[in-house]
Amino acid sequence: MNRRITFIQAVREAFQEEMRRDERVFVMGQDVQAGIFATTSKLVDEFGPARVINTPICESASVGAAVGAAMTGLRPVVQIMFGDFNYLAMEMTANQAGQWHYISDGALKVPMVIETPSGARGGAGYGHSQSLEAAFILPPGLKVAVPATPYDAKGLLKSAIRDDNPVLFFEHRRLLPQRGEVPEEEYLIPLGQADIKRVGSDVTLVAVSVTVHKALAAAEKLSQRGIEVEVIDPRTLVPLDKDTIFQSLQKTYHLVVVEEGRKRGGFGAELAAIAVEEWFDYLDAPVQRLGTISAALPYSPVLEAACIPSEEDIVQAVLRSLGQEE
Amino acid sequence: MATAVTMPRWGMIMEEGMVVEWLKKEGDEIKRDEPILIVESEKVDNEVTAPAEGVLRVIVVDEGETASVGAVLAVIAAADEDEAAIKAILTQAAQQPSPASSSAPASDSHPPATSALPPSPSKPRRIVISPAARRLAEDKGIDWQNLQGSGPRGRIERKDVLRAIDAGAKPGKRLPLSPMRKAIARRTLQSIQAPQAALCREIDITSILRFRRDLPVGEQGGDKPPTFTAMLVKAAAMALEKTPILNALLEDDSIWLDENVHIGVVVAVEEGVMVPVVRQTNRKSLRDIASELGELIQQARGGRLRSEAMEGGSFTISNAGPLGIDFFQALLYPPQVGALGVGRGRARAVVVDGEVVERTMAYFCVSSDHRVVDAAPIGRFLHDMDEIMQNPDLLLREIK
Amino acid sequence: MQLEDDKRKELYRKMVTVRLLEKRVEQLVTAARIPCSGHFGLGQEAVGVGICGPLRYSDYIFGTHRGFAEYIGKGLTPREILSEYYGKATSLSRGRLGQHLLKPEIGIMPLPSSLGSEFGMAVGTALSTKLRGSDQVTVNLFGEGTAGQADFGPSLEMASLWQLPLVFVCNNNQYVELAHYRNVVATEDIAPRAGAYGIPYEIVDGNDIALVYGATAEAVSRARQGEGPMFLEFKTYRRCTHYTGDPGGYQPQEEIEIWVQKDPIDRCRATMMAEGMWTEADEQAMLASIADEIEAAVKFAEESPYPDPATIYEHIYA
Repeated sequence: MNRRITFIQAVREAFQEEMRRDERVFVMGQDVQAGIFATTSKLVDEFGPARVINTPICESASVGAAVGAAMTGLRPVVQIMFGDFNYLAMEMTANQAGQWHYISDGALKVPMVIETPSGARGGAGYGHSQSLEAAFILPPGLKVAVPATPYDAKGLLKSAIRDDNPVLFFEHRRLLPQRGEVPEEEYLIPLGQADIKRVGSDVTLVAVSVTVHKALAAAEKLSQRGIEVEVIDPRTLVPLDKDTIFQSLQKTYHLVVVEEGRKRGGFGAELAAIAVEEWFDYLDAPVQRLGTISAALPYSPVLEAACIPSEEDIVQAVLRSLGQEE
Repeated sequence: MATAVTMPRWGMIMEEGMVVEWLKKEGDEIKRDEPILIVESEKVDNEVTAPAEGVLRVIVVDEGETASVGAVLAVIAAADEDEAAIKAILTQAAQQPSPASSSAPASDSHPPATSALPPSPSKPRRIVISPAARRLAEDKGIDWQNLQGSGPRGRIERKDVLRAIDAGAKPGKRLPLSPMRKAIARRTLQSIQAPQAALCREIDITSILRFRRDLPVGEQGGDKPPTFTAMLVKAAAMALEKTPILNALLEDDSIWLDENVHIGVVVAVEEGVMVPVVRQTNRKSLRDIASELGELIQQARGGRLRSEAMEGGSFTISNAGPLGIDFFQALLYPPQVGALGVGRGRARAVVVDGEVVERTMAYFCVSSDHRVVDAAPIGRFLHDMDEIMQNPDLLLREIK
Repeated sequence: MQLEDDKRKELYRKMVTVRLLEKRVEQLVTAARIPCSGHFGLGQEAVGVGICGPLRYSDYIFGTHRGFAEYIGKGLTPREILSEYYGKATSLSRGRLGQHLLKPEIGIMPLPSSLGSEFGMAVGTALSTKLRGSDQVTVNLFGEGTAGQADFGPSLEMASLWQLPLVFVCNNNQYVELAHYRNVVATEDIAPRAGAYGIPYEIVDGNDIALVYGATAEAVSRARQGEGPMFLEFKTYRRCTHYTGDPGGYQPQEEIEIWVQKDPIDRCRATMMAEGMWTEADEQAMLASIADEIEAAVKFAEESPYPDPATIYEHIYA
């Protein structure tokens, strides 16, 4: 039986189910008891303040504490209120959380999740708006989830909590209030399994997080012109489900990738490089990448919108790929 | 000052050349007259020397690319020369038609056959094909070099290959015409425009072959016996002196009768043929002709033949014997009016003085421009050739 | 808390082991037998060894990059240390850790290359034991220079806020890399900072093994009983340079001489002999035994094979 619930509700359900299932799971972060974006709201009522812990304002020590707890038998989820603030904790995430399992030759495990609302929502300004998921492709040992729907969010978060590695879980703030179908019964979505959000034959369009929805809208427009776009949501950037993307490319021979993260050095750069390196013979046109410009995100919603890829940008990128530029 | 290095014009018929190799790279110091690149034109590879001193600032035409005569290949300028001056040359080069046709001298009696066509751009179109299209084409054995691309900037895409497959493109391979083959194509086309007659005589070459074999080493023949072809050249020189109308050039509405006999010899090389010219054969001994021809053939086969060495012929000889050809009509090289083709010698039973004997016979066939030469002079020429073949000692006669 | 005779002998032997091992490793680094540089703690052995005295194997310690005192103190052997330093296949990490000594099964937790990154992790292990209802204690050992790191304050805050079983130990050896600590540290003492977070603190002579042991035992006991964190600052002195190859010269000779007089090993031995629990014969027997142990460890590490490069793809993810 499917219901339509919001992204926030889906995430909260994942917390509830996993915290009921495994008492080693706990949540910590600034204002997680009240829940500033509501994903953790009311958890404290059921699980108490010992498992829903408000932290002082210090992202690095909070993530550090999660690392220490994870190394010694717990499964913490630490919330970083804005994706941008991940840079404050980068040392703990990139140098410590991601590396000790390997460097200890497996003696330590770091099963933890960093849940982090992020992305441009129009008017939050330069330091509360970035989509930084691609910054976590580079450090070793981390996994990166970028759900685009309530269904994916719930299934991925549950898998992330059960995973024995540090997982970054990005929640785009424009998605938080969106509703989607989520079954009553329990389900998991494995990390590293892409989802074909729309079947098409002409162009493979890989879209990350919030841009999945822009990509689907662009695909509808293009369909009216006889162009059928296959929209693939990788759902996790690490591990990346290259097989699904490659299978699609073997059908379409055209690759477009869109993300709200910055284009330079972004996920699109990585995917384009993979395409050229591994799938060269399946490219009938240059790979088209869309991402945010390499500038600080300005405050005015009009300027911000101009910096990030729009639905129309996606339409044009697909047309460019097909040599039908306008 | 910035100076353009342009595609040189070697010989009357050169229209374009291919850059084979840059001997210098961008940024190198250049001395005036120093060789800076090698160009393959028509039939030869030649060095191009620097027209000025300075630094090789920009290479415009890369190795393997073709450019028309006069096109800018590179720019030499002082190390601190203003970019603007270099850009000016490059812009000019891009806009102006190649001087290949415009600067051809008015007296040039043989304008290039394609001079009416627009000049080719200095950078020829590079074939652009998507990786997926190329893979499909190669899988299906489709020659993509010749496909028309419908993508941006003419890029060949999968749909173009699929269209070609639907249209029934046959498996195969297409090769671009090398400058040499282009020249051959032009020459043969020119040749066929002349109304031609081919007259033939079967000649007994037993004596001359024996003569060649028995010639004492070191005497007359040089270090080794003269080749049959060298003997043909010497014989033709002698015969042509007696039939000057065959040793002539048809130029517009006049006939040029050359005092000397300059004989072009068709030489097979890897990519086609070359025709080096042995000059003033009527004034040279058999030994000199043999040694000069030997040298020219070596140069031709080594790609070292200079274009001047192929100019100024008044008659042409082609010996197809080594190819196993019995009889053929040699290509006429206008403005020349005569060419001799000699087939292979074969042992035959013939009647000599009422007796059947074994002799080595070969067909000598003269191609001629019928506008200038009638049958009678050819008959005389072939008669004289026959006589020399029977009396090879004549070849050693003192030169006047 | 009193230091029993047997415990004193055990700690004494560990201090001497640390000193001899550090000296030996320094030779091996200089001889390029060991690829890394070495950071040693000549004269400050009592702190690292002493704080481990009252700890159980199951307690957690986050140590420093300087010397082997807390590692030997917590139970790591010269053989385990040397095989890591050599980067050999026989090391616990099969050649991955090097100087970042680690052995979680006896509570030796990560030594991060970025000093101070252990502050948050130590809060985490203490939080973990508290949430799990375990009586394990976490000891976070750091130098007076590392106390300047960003996570220092927040970790005190969290430990105090959540009343964690966490003992902060500042090993104040008076030198922050190549500078006297008063060049880069604003106050004579570090410990009073804990007071600002509501954490009790104590400043103790770090060259007296009995005092180090006693102060730590009390703090650990409090923490184990759920009475929250404590902050200890041990005053000691680093008589060697910052790293192998550091020419030194920034420490006045008179200053070093003063601290030679206060050497923790000499003091411990004198006390034991005065109390009649240690003889010259005991001393010689112990020195010979330690030398044997170290040389056997060197031989083991030297003779061990290097790891197989094919193992680099193992344990990238759990």
